[in-house]
Amino acid sequence: MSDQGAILQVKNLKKYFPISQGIVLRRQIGAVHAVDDISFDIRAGETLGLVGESGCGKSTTGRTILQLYRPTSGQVLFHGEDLTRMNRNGLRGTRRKMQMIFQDPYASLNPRMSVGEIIGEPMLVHRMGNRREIEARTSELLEMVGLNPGYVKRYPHEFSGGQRQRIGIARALALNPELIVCDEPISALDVSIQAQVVNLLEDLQRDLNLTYLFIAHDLSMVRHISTRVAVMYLGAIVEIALREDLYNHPLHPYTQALLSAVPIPNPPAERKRQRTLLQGDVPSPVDPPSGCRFRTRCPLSIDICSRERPTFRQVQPDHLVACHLVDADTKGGEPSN
Amino acid sequence: MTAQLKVEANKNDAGGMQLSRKRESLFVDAVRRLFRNRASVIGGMIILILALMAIFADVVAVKPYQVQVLEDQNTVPSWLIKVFPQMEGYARINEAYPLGADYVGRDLFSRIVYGARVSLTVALIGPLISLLIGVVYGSISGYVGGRTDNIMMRLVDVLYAYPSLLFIILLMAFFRGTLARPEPGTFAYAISQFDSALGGMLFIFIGIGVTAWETMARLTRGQVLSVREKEFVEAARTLGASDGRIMFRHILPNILGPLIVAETLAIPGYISTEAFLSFIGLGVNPPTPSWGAMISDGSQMVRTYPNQTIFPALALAITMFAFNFLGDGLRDAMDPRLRGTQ
Repeated sequence: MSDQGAILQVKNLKKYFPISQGIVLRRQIGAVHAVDDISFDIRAGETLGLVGESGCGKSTTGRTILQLYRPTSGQVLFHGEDLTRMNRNGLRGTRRKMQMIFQDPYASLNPRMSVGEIIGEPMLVHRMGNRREIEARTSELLEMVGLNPGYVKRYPHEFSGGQRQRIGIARALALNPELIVCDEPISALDVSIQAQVVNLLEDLQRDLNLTYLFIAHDLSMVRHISTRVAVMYLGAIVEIALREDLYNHPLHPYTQALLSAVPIPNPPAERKRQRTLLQGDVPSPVDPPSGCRFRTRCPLSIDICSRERPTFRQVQPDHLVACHLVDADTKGGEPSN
Repeated sequence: MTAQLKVEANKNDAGGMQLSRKRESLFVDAVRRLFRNRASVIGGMIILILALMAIFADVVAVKPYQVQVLEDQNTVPSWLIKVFPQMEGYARINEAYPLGADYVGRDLFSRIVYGARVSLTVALIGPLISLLIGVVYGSISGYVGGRTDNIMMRLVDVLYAYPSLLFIILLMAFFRGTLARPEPGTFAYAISQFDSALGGMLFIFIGIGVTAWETMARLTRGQVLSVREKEFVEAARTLGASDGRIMFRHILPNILGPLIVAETLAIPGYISTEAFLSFIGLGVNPPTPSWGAMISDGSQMVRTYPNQTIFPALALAITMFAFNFLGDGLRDAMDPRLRGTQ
């Protein structure tokens, strides 16, 4: 993996949630392998799309990067500094540079605080200026996200979902962050509003030189906004590539199946679209399959898949895959088998 | 310039929804809906009248509560004979007492008026103690979580399992027994002096305090747990907000509603606990009037002079109903699902 221009490096990150039994005599009986040994980097100024099914660990990855969840093991390097080793005070400084936009615009704003208080809070917490300066900056931020600066005294329940999401974006921008983790920022919104919010995010990225980790399950939206795309399956990243590369020449069988599910907005082409239907369900992350995580549903699975976990390796420039069937010399398209 | 700016901003407005014309905070909306609820308004008014009555008892009561006029004992006014005809043959009539006099010739009405002081003080101090201890305890337990939470809640379970009335009775018996004749200058002496100055209410507060906080602690913990996982708390954490800030700015304001409602609905319980303790003779010291003590005194002759039991019991019942109605109205008013109705 190249380090050039990487703003954030994730190395062998693991996050297991313990499952315990008993109330008085608590003992751990297992663990949910929510994120299991993933490595990737995010380059300055890019948008890294992170896609996958529900429950594959996308959100956990985002939250573990921000240290909202402390990782089980692994490293998260932000500008070369390991966040996993920092204590709360150390993290405070870094948190100014890394912010998050949440999925549910109804749950992510405190209903008892006015818009002005919500957007002003980060500046208050980090003591960025006096009250007058914070108020001025709040109006500026509201305008930046396309809301009326006169709304500062209103409460979240007076706004629609799209407007609330804009308030959440303004809050994330208040500290002038470099990296924003967008945790499905549009999936809770109406389709007509989704485009507006995505356009806003793109405009802000251009104007403020932001870097995004964009978590989503809407493949078309990810294709629209991302520079590179990472595909997750059951707690592991199976493929990372530049956007066009991934969408046109997916190498991992899971990516291929996933992309074949995207409808084409063109009836003749849509009729010819061949869907790869996967058999069975996603295995439980409590007890993931041995070897390759995907082997239980993979149409191409062979002997080695159950014995060895495939290494996540670069097979083409900027194209990394974790699959036994993809050879380093494969020039796109089908895995050789 | 500003007008232009506003038009510009409005044009950029996304989301489509027209903002409601009336800008109401949640609090204003809750108050408005509380006032629309007739039962709770009546309850609130009764409590207000009782409070005024208790504060201005010296003016409202026609006679002092402790003066005994032995020749007037068990006398009744003539209107009571009409209500209870069986008293006709034996009751002596004396119009000077609006609700009659008790077995040592004290004015019942005046004693009920003064008795409101005890009941309302309990209604005020009880929630105060249980909120103070219970909310702090429950918040810590819920927010810290893990092992701390486990230990703290098991302790509550143990205390909860013990019958609280029995606990209070034992406690009162202990206090009254050991502190009956303390040496002057000791701590016990100071406490017992303070207790007598309050007419014996201090131990009632302690008795209610040691048991009432448990329910509140459990409720608070549950509420904290449910709000703690909300995204806006995570957002505050992402911003680098301190635990104190998250607790006081984000969690507490969002759980206050249910706590206030639960506490209001618990008040009748405190009042009846006090009345019960006074009834069995462990409450306030005579001659301080308490409704419970009056009911106890009157119950000796409930067949011959029912007025001596019925009126204090009525006062107690009305007060408890008033708090119940108010609590019920508060619950409806603070329920976010009912917002905008009525």
